[in-house]
Amino acid sequence: MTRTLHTQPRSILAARRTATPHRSRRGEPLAALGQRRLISDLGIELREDDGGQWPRIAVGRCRPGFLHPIGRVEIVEAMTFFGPLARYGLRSIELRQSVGEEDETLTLAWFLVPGRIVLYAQAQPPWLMRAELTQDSRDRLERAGAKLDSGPAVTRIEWPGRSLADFMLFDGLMHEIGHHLIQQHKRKRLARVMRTTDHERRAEQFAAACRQAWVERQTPA
Amino acid sequence: MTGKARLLGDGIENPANARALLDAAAMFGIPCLFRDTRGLGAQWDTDRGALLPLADPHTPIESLAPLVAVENVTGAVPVYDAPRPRVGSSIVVGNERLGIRGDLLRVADHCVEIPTASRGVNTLNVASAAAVALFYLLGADHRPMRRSPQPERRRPVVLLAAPTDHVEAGSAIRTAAAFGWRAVGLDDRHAVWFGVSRAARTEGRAAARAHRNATRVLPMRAEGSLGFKRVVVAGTRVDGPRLSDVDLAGGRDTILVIPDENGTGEVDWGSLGGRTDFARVELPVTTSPYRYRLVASIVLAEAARQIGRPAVVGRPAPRRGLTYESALEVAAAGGGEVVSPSELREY
Repeated sequence: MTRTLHTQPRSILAARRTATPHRSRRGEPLAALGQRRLISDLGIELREDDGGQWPRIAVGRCRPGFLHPIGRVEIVEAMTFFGPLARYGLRSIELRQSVGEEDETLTLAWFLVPGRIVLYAQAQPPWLMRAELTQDSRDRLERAGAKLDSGPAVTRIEWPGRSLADFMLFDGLMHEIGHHLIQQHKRKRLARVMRTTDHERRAEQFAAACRQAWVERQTPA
Repeated sequence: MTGKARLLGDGIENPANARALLDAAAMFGIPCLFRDTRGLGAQWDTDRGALLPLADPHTPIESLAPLVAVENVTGAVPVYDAPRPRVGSSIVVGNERLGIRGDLLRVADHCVEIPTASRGVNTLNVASAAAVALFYLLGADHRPMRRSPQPERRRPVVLLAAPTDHVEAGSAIRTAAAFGWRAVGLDDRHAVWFGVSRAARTEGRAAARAHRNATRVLPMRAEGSLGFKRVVVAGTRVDGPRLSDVDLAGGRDTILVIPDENGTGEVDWGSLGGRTDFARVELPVTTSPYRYRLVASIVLAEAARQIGRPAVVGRPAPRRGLTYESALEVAAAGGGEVVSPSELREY
Protein backbone atom coordinates (compact mmCIF):
# COMPACT_ATOMS: atom_id res chain seq x y z
CA MET A 1 0.00 0.00 0.00
CA THR A 2 1.38 3.35 -0.94
CA ARG A 3 1.33 5.91 1.84
CA THR A 4 1.10 9.60 1.28
CA LEU A 5 3.34 12.12 2.92
CA HIS A 6 0.53 13.06 5.28
CA THR A 7 0.18 9.60 6.77
CA GLN A 8 3.84 8.84 6.88
CA PRO A 9 4.96 7.59 10.35
CA ARG A 10 6.50 10.31 12.43
CA SER A 11 9.85 8.58 12.65
CA ILE A 12 10.20 8.51 8.84
CA LEU A 13 8.76 11.98 8.41
CA ALA A 14 11.10 13.45 11.01
CA ALA A 15 14.17 11.87 9.43
CA ARG A 16 13.14 13.12 5.99
CA ARG A 17 12.34 16.65 7.07
CA THR A 18 15.33 17.25 9.31
CA ALA A 19 17.56 16.02 6.48
CA THR A 20 15.98 18.29 3.90
CA PRO A 21 13.92 20.94 5.65
CA HIS A 22 13.38 23.15 2.60
CA ARG A 23 12.73 20.56 -0.08
CA SER A 24 9.44 20.86 -1.88
CA ARG A 25 6.95 18.02 -2.15
CA ARG A 26 7.87 17.53 -5.78
CA GLY A 27 11.41 16.77 -4.77
CA GLU A 28 10.46 13.96 -2.36
CA PRO A 29 11.69 10.80 -4.06
CA LEU A 30 11.36 8.71 -0.94
CA ALA A 31 7.90 9.73 0.07
CA ALA A 32 6.18 6.45 -0.45
CA LEU A 33 7.15 3.21 1.17
CA GLY A 34 6.85 1.47 -2.17
CA GLN A 35 9.44 3.74 -3.70
CA ARG A 36 11.59 3.31 -0.67
CA ARG A 37 11.44 -0.46 -0.90
CA LEU A 38 12.31 -0.23 -4.57
CA ILE A 39 15.39 1.82 -3.86
CA SER A 40 16.34 -0.62 -1.15
CA ASP A 41 15.97 -3.51 -3.58
CA LEU A 42 18.30 -1.70 -5.93
CA GLY A 43 20.95 -1.82 -3.23
CA ILE A 44 21.01 1.89 -2.34
CA GLU A 45 21.59 2.43 1.35
CA LEU A 46 19.40 5.00 3.09
CA ARG A 47 20.72 6.73 6.14
CA GLU A 48 18.12 7.19 8.84
CA ASP A 49 20.06 10.01 10.40
CA ASP A 50 22.15 11.90 7.92
CA GLY A 51 23.02 14.80 10.20
CA GLY A 52 20.50 17.16 8.67
CA GLN A 53 19.08 20.18 10.43
CA TRP A 54 20.04 20.54 14.06
CA PRO A 55 18.76 23.01 16.60
CA ARG A 56 21.12 25.81 17.52
CA ILE A 57 22.90 25.01 20.80
CA ALA A 58 23.96 28.14 22.70
CA VAL A 59 26.05 27.82 25.84
CA GLY A 60 26.09 30.77 28.22
CA ARG A 61 28.62 31.35 30.97
CA CYS A 62 27.62 30.38 34.53
CA ARG A 63 27.78 32.60 37.58
CA PRO A 64 30.33 31.63 40.23
CA GLY A 65 29.07 28.67 42.24
CA PHE A 66 26.91 27.37 39.41
CA LEU A 67 27.46 24.91 36.60
CA HIS A 68 25.76 23.48 33.56
CA PRO A 69 25.34 19.80 34.45
CA ILE A 70 25.25 18.92 30.75
CA GLY A 71 27.08 20.66 27.96
CA ARG A 72 27.01 20.72 24.19
CA VAL A 73 28.69 17.32 23.93
CA GLU A 74 26.11 15.56 26.09
CA ILE A 75 23.25 17.24 24.26
CA VAL A 76 24.58 16.23 20.84
CA GLU A 77 25.17 12.69 22.08
CA ALA A 78 21.62 12.39 23.40
CA MET A 79 20.05 13.96 20.33
CA THR A 80 22.02 11.62 18.10
CA PHE A 81 20.89 8.64 20.14
CA PHE A 82 17.23 9.62 20.16
CA GLY A 83 17.36 10.49 16.47
CA PRO A 84 15.65 13.02 14.27
CA LEU A 85 12.30 12.51 15.98
CA ALA A 86 13.64 14.23 19.08
CA ARG A 87 14.99 17.24 17.26
CA TYR A 88 12.49 17.73 14.51
CA GLY A 89 11.06 21.22 14.75
CA LEU A 90 13.39 22.30 17.53
CA ARG A 91 14.87 25.71 16.93
CA SER A 92 17.30 26.18 19.78
CA ILE A 93 18.62 24.70 23.00
CA GLU A 94 20.12 27.35 25.25
CA LEU A 95 22.18 26.83 28.39
CA ARG A 96 21.61 29.90 30.49
CA GLN A 97 22.34 31.34 33.90
CA SER A 98 19.89 30.37 36.60
CA VAL A 99 16.78 32.46 36.99
CA GLY A 100 16.10 34.57 40.08
CA GLU A 101 15.44 32.24 42.98
CA GLU A 102 11.83 31.91 43.84
CA ASP A 103 10.84 30.70 47.26
CA GLU A 104 8.58 27.98 45.96
CA THR A 105 10.37 26.52 42.97
CA LEU A 106 13.78 25.61 41.62
CA THR A 107 13.61 25.88 37.87
CA LEU A 108 15.49 23.34 35.78
CA ALA A 109 14.35 24.02 32.26
CA TRP A 110 11.86 25.96 30.26
CA PHE A 111 10.17 25.39 26.92
CA LEU A 112 8.73 28.13 24.79
CA VAL A 113 6.62 27.00 21.87
CA PRO A 114 7.50 26.57 19.11
CA GLY A 115 10.81 24.87 19.56
CA ARG A 116 12.88 26.83 22.06
CA ILE A 117 14.33 25.05 25.11
CA VAL A 118 16.28 26.76 27.89
CA LEU A 119 18.28 24.72 30.40
CA TYR A 120 19.27 26.67 33.49
CA ALA A 121 22.59 26.46 35.28
CA GLN A 122 22.33 24.81 38.68
CA ALA A 123 24.12 25.31 41.96
CA GLN A 124 27.21 23.23 42.65
CA PRO A 125 26.23 20.12 44.57
CA PRO A 126 25.33 19.42 47.26
CA TRP A 127 22.16 21.47 47.02
CA LEU A 128 20.58 22.97 50.12
CA MET A 129 16.93 23.87 49.91
CA ARG A 130 15.47 25.94 52.74
CA ALA A 131 12.25 24.01 52.80
CA GLU A 132 10.75 20.60 52.39
CA LEU A 133 10.11 19.38 48.88
CA THR A 134 6.83 18.05 47.60
CA GLN A 135 6.58 14.28 47.31
CA ASP A 136 6.57 14.53 43.50
CA SER A 137 9.81 16.46 43.53
CA ARG A 138 11.37 14.00 45.98
CA ASP A 139 10.36 11.11 43.72
CA ARG A 140 11.90 12.81 40.70
CA LEU A 141 15.15 13.41 42.54
CA GLU A 142 15.39 9.89 43.90
CA ARG A 143 14.58 8.41 40.51
CA ALA A 144 17.53 10.35 39.13
CA GLY A 145 19.84 8.91 41.77
CA ALA A 146 20.02 11.84 44.19
CA LYS A 147 20.46 11.24 47.90
CA LEU A 148 18.11 13.30 50.03
CA ASP A 149 18.61 14.22 53.64
CA SER A 150 15.77 16.18 55.21
CA GLY A 151 16.44 18.23 58.31
CA PRO A 152 14.25 20.80 60.06
CA ALA A 153 13.12 23.04 57.20
CA VAL A 154 16.27 22.23 55.21
CA THR A 155 16.68 19.55 52.54
CA ARG A 156 20.18 18.51 51.52
CA ILE A 157 20.47 16.92 48.09
CA GLU A 158 23.64 15.10 47.08
CA TRP A 159 24.41 14.08 43.54
CA PRO A 160 26.74 11.09 43.37
CA GLY A 161 28.60 10.37 40.13
CA ARG A 162 26.82 11.39 36.94
CA SER A 163 23.40 11.56 38.54
CA LEU A 164 23.06 15.35 38.26
CA ALA A 165 23.91 15.24 34.54
CA ASP A 166 21.36 12.46 34.03
CA PHE A 167 18.78 14.39 36.02
CA MET A 168 19.26 17.45 33.86
CA LEU A 169 19.31 15.37 30.68
CA PHE A 170 16.01 13.61 31.33
CA ASP A 171 14.08 15.75 33.79
CA GLY A 172 15.26 18.88 32.04
CA LEU A 173 16.05 18.43 28.36
CA MET A 174 14.03 15.33 27.43
CA HIS A 175 11.08 16.48 29.54
CA GLU A 176 10.94 19.71 27.55
CA ILE A 177 11.40 17.80 24.28
CA GLY A 178 8.40 15.76 25.40
CA HIS A 179 6.38 18.98 25.57
CA HIS A 180 7.70 19.93 22.15
CA LEU A 181 6.72 16.58 20.62
CA ILE A 182 3.20 16.84 21.99
CA GLN A 183 2.82 20.20 20.30
CA GLN A 184 4.38 18.88 17.08
CA HIS A 185 2.33 15.69 17.06
CA LYS A 186 -0.92 17.61 17.32
CA ARG A 187 0.20 19.80 14.42
CA LYS A 188 -0.87 22.87 16.36
CA ARG A 189 2.48 24.15 17.30
CA LEU A 190 1.40 27.46 18.77
CA ALA A 191 -1.92 26.53 20.34
CA ARG A 192 -2.59 24.95 23.71
CA VAL A 193 -3.41 21.38 22.78
CA MET A 194 -4.29 19.97 26.19
CA ARG A 195 -4.53 20.89 29.86
CA THR A 196 -1.23 21.76 31.45
CA THR A 197 -1.43 18.84 33.90
CA ASP A 198 -1.94 16.39 31.03
CA HIS A 199 0.84 18.05 29.07
CA GLU A 200 3.15 17.68 32.06
CA ARG A 201 2.15 14.08 32.67
CA ARG A 202 2.84 13.07 29.08
CA ALA A 203 6.12 14.93 28.99
CA GLU A 204 7.06 13.08 32.16
CA GLN A 205 6.17 9.75 30.56
CA PHE A 206 8.25 10.61 27.52
CA ALA A 207 11.23 11.54 29.70
CA ALA A 208 10.86 8.27 31.63
CA ALA A 209 10.77 6.25 28.38
CA CYS A 210 13.86 8.07 27.15
CA ARG A 211 15.64 7.35 30.41
CA GLN A 212 14.84 3.66 30.11
CA ALA A 213 16.02 3.49 26.48
CA TRP A 214 19.22 5.30 27.44
CA VAL A 215 19.91 2.93 30.31
CA GLU A 216 19.24 -0.11 28.13
CA ARG A 217 21.65 1.19 25.52
CA GLN A 218 24.38 1.54 28.14
CA THR A 219 23.78 -1.91 29.60
CA PRO A 220 23.38 -4.23 26.60
CA ALA A 221 22.00 -7.67 27.33
CA MET B 1 20.15 63.59 70.87
CA THR B 2 17.69 64.54 73.61
CA GLY B 3 15.95 67.82 72.77
CA LYS B 4 16.56 67.39 69.06
CA ALA B 5 13.11 66.10 68.28
CA ARG B 6 9.96 64.55 69.67
CA LEU B 7 7.67 61.80 68.49
CA LEU B 8 4.06 62.74 67.84
CA GLY B 9 1.37 60.08 67.50
CA ASP B 10 -1.56 61.50 65.55
CA GLY B 11 -4.93 59.84 66.11
CA ILE B 12 -3.57 56.57 67.48
CA GLU B 13 -6.45 54.26 68.44
CA ASN B 14 -4.86 51.22 70.02
CA PRO B 15 -3.45 51.70 73.55
CA ALA B 16 -0.98 48.84 72.96
CA ASN B 17 0.44 50.72 69.98
CA ALA B 18 0.59 53.89 72.07
CA ARG B 19 2.67 52.05 74.69
CA ALA B 20 4.95 50.71 71.97
CA LEU B 21 5.35 54.26 70.64
CA LEU B 22 6.34 55.44 74.11
CA ASP B 23 8.97 52.69 74.17
CA ALA B 24 10.18 53.64 70.70
CA ALA B 25 10.63 57.25 71.79
CA ALA B 26 12.39 56.09 74.97
CA MET B 27 14.83 54.01 72.88
CA PHE B 28 15.96 57.20 71.18
CA GLY B 29 15.79 59.40 74.29
CA ILE B 30 13.14 61.74 72.99
CA PRO B 31 9.73 62.67 74.41
CA CYS B 32 6.50 61.31 72.93
CA LEU B 33 3.20 63.15 72.61
CA PHE B 34 -0.18 62.05 71.38
CA ARG B 35 -2.72 64.12 69.51
CA ASP B 36 -5.85 62.38 70.66
CA THR B 37 -8.47 62.65 67.95
CA ARG B 38 -9.85 59.10 68.13
CA GLY B 39 -10.59 58.41 71.76
CA LEU B 40 -7.25 57.03 72.88
CA GLY B 41 -7.49 58.80 76.26
CA ALA B 42 -10.78 57.10 77.06
CA GLN B 43 -9.25 53.64 76.51
CA TRP B 44 -6.01 54.36 78.32
CA ASP B 45 -5.52 52.23 81.42
CA THR B 46 -3.37 54.19 83.85
CA ASP B 47 -2.94 51.08 86.03
CA ARG B 48 -0.71 49.54 83.34
CA GLY B 49 2.06 52.07 83.61
CA ALA B 50 2.93 55.45 82.20
CA LEU B 51 0.57 58.36 81.96
CA LEU B 52 -0.60 59.21 78.48
CA PRO B 53 1.20 62.39 77.41
CA LEU B 54 -1.36 64.31 75.37
CA ALA B 55 -0.83 67.40 73.29
CA ASP B 56 -3.03 70.29 74.37
CA PRO B 57 -6.05 70.15 72.05
CA HIS B 58 -6.25 73.95 72.03
CA THR B 59 -2.68 74.35 70.91
CA PRO B 60 -2.51 75.44 67.25
CA ILE B 61 -0.89 72.92 64.95
CA GLU B 62 1.72 75.45 63.94
CA SER B 63 3.16 75.33 67.46
CA LEU B 64 4.16 71.70 66.83
CA ALA B 65 6.24 72.72 63.81
CA PRO B 66 8.66 71.95 62.29
CA LEU B 67 6.92 68.73 61.35
CA VAL B 68 8.34 65.65 59.64
CA ALA B 69 5.50 63.37 58.55
CA VAL B 70 6.19 59.64 58.24
CA GLU B 71 3.66 58.76 55.56
CA ASN B 72 3.60 57.04 52.19
CA VAL B 73 2.42 59.95 50.08
CA THR B 74 3.40 61.21 46.66
CA GLY B 75 6.66 63.11 46.82
CA ALA B 76 7.77 61.61 50.13
CA VAL B 77 11.52 61.10 50.49
CA PRO B 78 12.80 57.60 51.37
CA VAL B 79 13.66 57.58 55.04
CA TYR B 80 17.14 56.21 54.28
CA ASP B 81 18.37 59.41 52.69
CA ALA B 82 15.99 61.96 54.21
CA PRO B 83 17.63 65.08 55.62
CA ARG B 84 18.16 65.28 59.37
CA PRO B 85 15.24 67.03 61.07
CA ARG B 86 15.83 70.46 62.55
CA VAL B 87 16.23 70.87 66.30
CA GLY B 88 12.85 70.71 68.02
CA SER B 89 11.12 68.94 65.12
CA SER B 90 8.06 66.77 65.66
CA ILE B 91 8.30 63.44 63.88
CA VAL B 92 4.69 62.47 63.22
CA VAL B 93 3.23 59.01 62.76
CA GLY B 94 -0.45 58.55 62.06
CA ASN B 95 -3.45 56.41 62.81
CA GLU B 96 -3.06 52.66 62.32
CA ARG B 97 -5.55 52.49 59.46
CA LEU B 98 -5.96 56.01 58.19
CA GLY B 99 -2.54 57.57 58.59
CA ILE B 100 -1.84 61.20 59.43
CA ARG B 101 -4.74 63.64 59.25
CA GLY B 102 -4.74 66.08 56.38
CA ASP B 103 -4.43 69.19 58.58
CA LEU B 104 -1.06 67.96 59.89
CA LEU B 105 0.12 66.75 56.51
CA ARG B 106 -0.58 70.15 54.97
CA VAL B 107 1.70 71.96 57.41
CA ALA B 108 4.44 69.31 57.43
CA ASP B 109 7.84 70.61 56.37
CA HIS B 110 8.53 67.41 54.53
CA CYS B 111 7.28 63.84 54.32
CA VAL B 112 9.39 60.73 54.58
CA GLU B 113 8.35 57.22 53.59
CA ILE B 114 9.60 53.77 54.44
CA PRO B 115 10.02 52.07 51.05
CA THR B 116 8.28 48.70 50.98
CA ALA B 117 8.56 45.91 48.45
CA SER B 118 5.32 44.00 48.93
CA ARG B 119 2.03 44.36 47.11
CA GLY B 120 0.03 42.73 49.86
CA VAL B 121 1.47 44.45 52.93
CA ASN B 122 2.63 47.97 52.20
CA THR B 123 2.69 49.42 55.70
CA LEU B 124 4.41 48.63 58.98
CA ASN B 125 2.94 48.58 62.45
CA VAL B 126 2.86 52.21 63.61
CA ALA B 127 5.39 51.70 66.41
CA SER B 128 7.68 49.71 64.10
CA ALA B 129 7.45 52.49 61.53
CA ALA B 130 8.27 55.06 64.22
CA ALA B 131 11.32 53.07 65.34
CA VAL B 132 12.60 52.74 61.76
CA ALA B 133 12.01 56.44 61.08
CA LEU B 134 13.74 57.54 64.30
CA PHE B 135 16.66 55.21 63.64
CA TYR B 136 17.36 56.73 60.25
CA LEU B 137 16.34 60.32 60.94
CA LEU B 138 18.15 60.71 64.24
CA GLY B 139 20.78 58.05 64.49
CA ALA B 140 22.20 56.16 61.56
CA ASP B 141 24.43 57.44 58.80
CA HIS B 142 22.49 58.62 55.82
CA ARG B 143 23.10 56.04 53.16
CA PRO B 144 20.67 55.82 50.25
CA MET B 145 18.91 52.65 49.28
CA ARG B 146 20.92 50.56 46.87
CA ARG B 147 19.97 50.07 43.26
CA SER B 148 20.56 46.56 42.13
CA PRO B 149 19.81 44.78 38.85
CA GLN B 150 18.49 41.73 40.69
CA PRO B 151 17.83 42.60 44.33
CA GLU B 152 16.05 39.33 45.05
CA ARG B 153 19.32 37.46 44.66
CA ARG B 154 20.70 39.47 47.57
CA ARG B 155 17.84 38.71 49.96
CA PRO B 156 18.95 36.61 52.95
CA VAL B 157 16.83 34.09 54.81
CA VAL B 158 15.36 35.61 57.98
CA LEU B 159 14.97 33.75 61.26
CA LEU B 160 13.01 35.42 64.05
CA ALA B 161 14.36 33.70 67.12
CA ALA B 162 12.41 33.09 70.31
CA PRO B 163 9.88 35.92 70.43
CA THR B 164 8.11 36.01 73.77
CA ASP B 165 4.87 37.62 72.65
CA HIS B 166 2.68 36.85 69.66
CA VAL B 167 1.93 40.49 68.93
CA GLU B 168 5.64 41.30 68.86
CA ALA B 169 6.22 38.27 66.62
CA GLY B 170 3.30 39.20 64.37
CA SER B 171 4.52 42.77 63.98
CA ALA B 172 8.00 41.55 63.10
CA ILE B 173 6.54 39.16 60.51
CA ARG B 174 4.45 42.01 59.14
CA THR B 175 7.58 44.13 58.78
CA ALA B 176 9.38 41.30 57.00
CA ALA B 177 6.42 40.85 54.67
CA ALA B 178 6.30 44.57 53.92
CA PHE B 179 10.00 44.58 53.05
CA GLY B 180 9.47 41.76 50.57
CA TRP B 181 10.19 38.52 52.44
CA ARG B 182 7.67 35.92 51.28
CA ALA B 183 8.85 33.36 53.82
CA VAL B 184 10.17 33.87 57.32
CA GLY B 185 11.66 31.30 59.69
CA LEU B 186 10.38 31.41 63.25
CA ASP B 187 11.97 29.74 66.25
CA ASP B 188 8.85 29.47 68.36
CA ARG B 189 10.43 28.04 71.48
CA HIS B 190 8.03 30.02 73.69
CA ALA B 191 5.00 28.71 71.78
CA VAL B 192 3.58 32.13 70.99
CA TRP B 193 2.80 31.67 67.32
CA PHE B 194 2.05 28.20 66.00
CA GLY B 195 -1.20 26.73 67.18
CA VAL B 196 -3.22 28.01 70.17
CA SER B 197 -5.64 30.88 69.93
CA ARG B 198 -4.03 32.63 66.95
CA ALA B 199 -4.80 29.65 64.72
CA ALA B 200 -8.48 29.93 65.58
CA ARG B 201 -8.43 33.55 64.52
CA THR B 202 -6.71 32.55 61.33
CA GLU B 203 -9.44 30.06 60.54
CA GLY B 204 -12.02 32.73 61.12
CA ARG B 205 -10.43 34.83 58.46
CA ALA B 206 -9.93 31.98 56.03
CA ALA B 207 -12.75 33.19 53.85
CA ALA B 208 -11.13 36.57 53.44
CA ARG B 209 -7.80 35.11 52.41
CA ALA B 210 -6.77 35.46 48.85
CA HIS B 211 -3.50 33.54 49.36
CA ARG B 212 -1.95 35.93 46.92
CA ASN B 213 1.09 37.70 48.28
CA ALA B 214 0.72 35.64 51.42
CA THR B 215 3.66 35.20 53.76
CA ARG B 216 4.83 31.76 54.82
CA VAL B 217 6.02 31.31 58.39
CA LEU B 218 8.30 28.27 58.64
CA PRO B 219 9.16 26.64 61.95
CA MET B 220 12.92 26.58 62.47
CA ARG B 221 15.16 26.09 65.48
CA ALA B 222 18.09 28.34 66.21
CA GLU B 223 20.30 25.41 67.16
CA GLY B 224 22.41 22.91 65.29
CA SER B 225 23.68 23.47 61.78
CA LEU B 226 21.09 25.03 59.51
CA GLY B 227 23.26 24.56 56.43
CA PHE B 228 23.99 28.20 55.67
CA LYS B 229 27.41 29.47 54.69
CA ARG B 230 27.04 32.59 56.81
CA VAL B 231 25.02 33.48 59.89
CA VAL B 232 24.44 37.10 60.86
CA VAL B 233 23.04 37.71 64.34
CA ALA B 234 21.64 41.21 64.83
CA GLY B 235 20.46 42.77 68.06
CA THR B 236 21.03 45.52 70.58
CA ARG B 237 23.05 43.42 73.00
CA VAL B 238 25.35 41.54 70.65
CA ASP B 239 28.99 42.48 70.41
CA GLY B 240 29.95 43.46 66.90
CA PRO B 241 30.23 46.27 64.39
CA ARG B 242 27.36 48.63 63.72
CA LEU B 243 24.38 47.32 61.80
CA SER B 244 25.04 49.46 58.74
CA ASP B 245 28.68 48.29 58.60
CA VAL B 246 27.76 44.61 58.27
CA ASP B 247 26.74 43.04 54.97
CA LEU B 248 23.19 41.84 55.59
CA ALA B 249 22.38 41.15 51.94
CA GLY B 250 24.30 37.96 51.29
CA GLY B 251 21.59 36.14 49.40
CA ARG B 252 20.23 32.68 50.11
CA ASP B 253 23.49 31.43 51.58
CA THR B 254 23.10 33.86 54.47
CA ILE B 255 20.68 33.60 57.35
CA LEU B 256 19.84 36.75 59.28
CA VAL B 257 18.95 35.81 62.85
CA ILE B 258 17.05 38.38 64.91
CA PRO B 259 16.80 37.07 68.45
CA ASP B 260 14.33 38.35 71.02
CA GLU B 261 16.92 39.34 73.57
CA ASN B 262 14.44 38.91 76.41
CA GLY B 263 13.69 35.32 75.53
CA THR B 264 16.68 33.78 73.82
CA GLY B 265 18.94 33.17 76.81
CA GLU B 266 22.41 31.86 76.13
CA VAL B 267 22.70 30.55 72.59
CA ASP B 268 25.83 29.31 70.89
CA TRP B 269 25.36 31.13 67.62
CA GLY B 270 28.50 29.53 66.20
CA SER B 271 26.74 26.17 66.20
CA LEU B 272 24.34 27.32 63.45
CA GLY B 273 27.08 26.55 60.94
CA GLY B 274 29.23 28.54 58.58
CA ARG B 275 30.80 31.86 59.45
CA THR B 276 29.05 33.82 62.19
CA ASP B 277 28.96 37.61 62.15
CA PHE B 278 27.33 39.93 64.63
CA ALA B 279 25.65 43.25 63.92
CA ARG B 280 24.87 45.67 66.71
CA VAL B 281 21.81 47.89 66.59
CA GLU B 282 23.23 51.06 68.07
CA LEU B 283 20.67 52.93 70.15
CA PRO B 284 21.27 56.16 72.04
CA VAL B 285 19.56 54.88 75.21
CA THR B 286 20.53 51.37 76.25
CA THR B 287 18.47 51.26 79.44
CA SER B 288 15.12 51.72 77.71
CA PRO B 289 12.49 48.96 77.76
CA TYR B 290 13.19 46.27 75.12
CA ARG B 291 10.58 45.65 72.46
CA TYR B 292 11.22 42.93 69.94
CA ARG B 293 9.17 44.39 67.11
CA LEU B 294 11.07 47.69 67.21
CA VAL B 295 14.53 46.12 67.07
CA ALA B 296 13.47 43.53 64.47
CA SER B 297 11.97 46.24 62.28
CA ILE B 298 15.15 48.30 62.39
CA VAL B 299 17.25 45.28 61.41
CA LEU B 300 14.88 44.33 58.60
CA ALA B 301 14.76 47.91 57.32
CA GLU B 302 18.56 48.01 57.13
CA ALA B 303 18.62 44.64 55.38
CA ALA B 304 16.01 45.93 52.90
CA ARG B 305 18.13 49.04 52.30
CA GLN B 306 21.16 46.90 51.53
CA ILE B 307 19.19 44.53 49.33
CA GLY B 308 18.05 47.55 47.36
CA ARG B 309 15.45 47.94 44.71
CA PRO B 310 15.52 47.15 41.01
CA ALA B 311 17.75 49.38 38.93
CA VAL B 312 15.03 49.78 36.31
CA VAL B 313 11.54 50.36 37.62
CA GLY B 314 8.39 49.93 35.65
CA ARG B 315 9.74 48.16 32.57
CA PRO B 316 7.04 45.78 31.42
CA ALA B 317 7.91 42.13 31.40
CA PRO B 318 8.55 40.76 27.90
CA ARG B 319 5.51 39.09 26.44
CA ARG B 320 5.84 35.34 26.29
CA GLY B 321 3.84 32.79 24.41
CA LEU B 322 2.85 29.33 25.53
CA THR B 323 5.50 27.99 27.90
CA TYR B 324 6.13 24.90 29.98
CA GLU B 325 8.56 24.65 32.83
CA SER B 326 10.34 21.83 34.59
CA ALA B 327 10.90 22.69 38.24
CA LEU B 328 11.21 21.26 41.73
CA GLU B 329 8.52 22.49 44.05
CA VAL B 330 8.64 23.23 47.73
CA ALA B 331 5.95 21.58 49.84
CA ALA B 332 2.99 23.93 50.13
CA ALA B 333 2.81 25.05 53.72
CA GLY B 334 3.99 21.59 54.71
CA GLY B 335 5.69 22.47 57.98
CA GLY B 336 4.81 26.12 57.95
CA GLU B 337 1.83 28.35 58.00
CA VAL B 338 0.54 30.76 55.40
CA VAL B 339 -0.45 34.15 56.79
CA SER B 340 -2.54 36.43 54.66
CA PRO B 341 -1.82 40.15 54.23
CA SER B 342 -5.17 40.97 55.82
CA GLU B 343 -4.16 39.16 58.99
CA LEU B 344 -0.73 40.74 59.09
CA ARG B 345 -2.27 44.18 58.89
CA GLU B 346 -3.82 43.51 62.30
CA TYR B 347 -0.38 43.57 63.90
